Amino acid sequence: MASHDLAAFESAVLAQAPPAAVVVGLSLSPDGKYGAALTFLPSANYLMDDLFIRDADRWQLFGGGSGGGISWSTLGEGDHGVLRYGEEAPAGASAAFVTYEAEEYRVPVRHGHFLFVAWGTSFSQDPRLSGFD
Amino acid sequence: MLSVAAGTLASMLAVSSAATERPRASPLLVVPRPTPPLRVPHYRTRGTYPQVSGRGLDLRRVNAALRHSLLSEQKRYARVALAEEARSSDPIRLRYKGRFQTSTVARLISANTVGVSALIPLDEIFPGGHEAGYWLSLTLLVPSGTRLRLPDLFTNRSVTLRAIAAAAQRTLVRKNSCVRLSLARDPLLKRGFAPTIKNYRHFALTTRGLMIGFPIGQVASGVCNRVEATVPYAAFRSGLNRPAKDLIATIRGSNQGG
Repeated sequence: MASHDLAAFESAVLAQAPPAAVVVGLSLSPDGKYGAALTFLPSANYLMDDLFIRDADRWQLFGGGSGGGISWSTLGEGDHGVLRYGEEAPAGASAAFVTYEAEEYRVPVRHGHFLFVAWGTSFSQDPRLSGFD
Repeated sequence: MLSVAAGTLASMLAVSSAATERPRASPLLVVPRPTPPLRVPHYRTRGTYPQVSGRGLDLRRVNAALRHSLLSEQKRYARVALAEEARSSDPIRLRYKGRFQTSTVARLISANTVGVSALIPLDEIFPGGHEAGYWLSLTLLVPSGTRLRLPDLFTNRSVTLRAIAAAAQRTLVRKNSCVRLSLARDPLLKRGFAPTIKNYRHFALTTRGLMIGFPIGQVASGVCNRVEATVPYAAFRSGLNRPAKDLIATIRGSNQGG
């Protein structure tokens, strides 16, 4: 995933978020067609989970809603979609460990929260928070 | 918008009295049009809704019915959205936007010179609110624009609905792991599959079968959002009246436009 892709995606995410919102986490789908983001509005202690689709060189809002906890969305036809899991992290934590489908993942903590994203999953089990670093 | 009884459906499909000739159909082109803006402040409107086009046929009533369905929903939702803003203004103050979005999805639409049938995904999300997926659905005769409801297609409503309900549940449990997980955790969600007209009001007749749309929370937990099930026509063919069988034959026999 090229860093300029992520930077462009982050700009698109912030452009549609309320002023002063910050990005907790971002992820682009393996084919680059979709993006997932978790934003946080510190003044309201409020998380937003957004899903985007790439339309030529622009990102369009595709789905999502209030964030925190588990979200899952299909991407077109079939049983597969994108799972997002976001929560608050304890003060001082730099990373969260999330176990999903028998694998453990380390995801960074930003602005006191983390975002875990799994693409192409059928969501047959919940992700589980195993700890913080 | 009118709905019709089976006898009327038969006459409108111009089926011969001997019922040996089936109406002929040619595909129509499905043209996605931008969704008209929801006239509520603090909302973004996105997406498209279907219109149809074809040569030599007056499709104004069909397209008007499709548009009217969308505008009616916007009118209904605008009242809900404004009431919600009055009740909870914090998200507005924080400058969150709500979303009204519809989508034109080819596999959920059939369109030919006999009938147009569409299941239209609908997102209605309050500013800063949870994801919430619903459906609009419309099955119309061409060129009259007369609307067909599910019971218009049946010889025996209760028997046929039971067959559709059983097949829809079977299909979703087999194919959608989010639904499967939800039902395992909360068996009461099975009530959303009960064979009532209301539970199956969102449908479309497509080349692949009867598509049923379930709104968020009806048959699965909210995390699964709205879901759809494809019910093969074979699962309830014996409960279809003859005009409905003819209509479906034209849908299965014509290539999709658009």
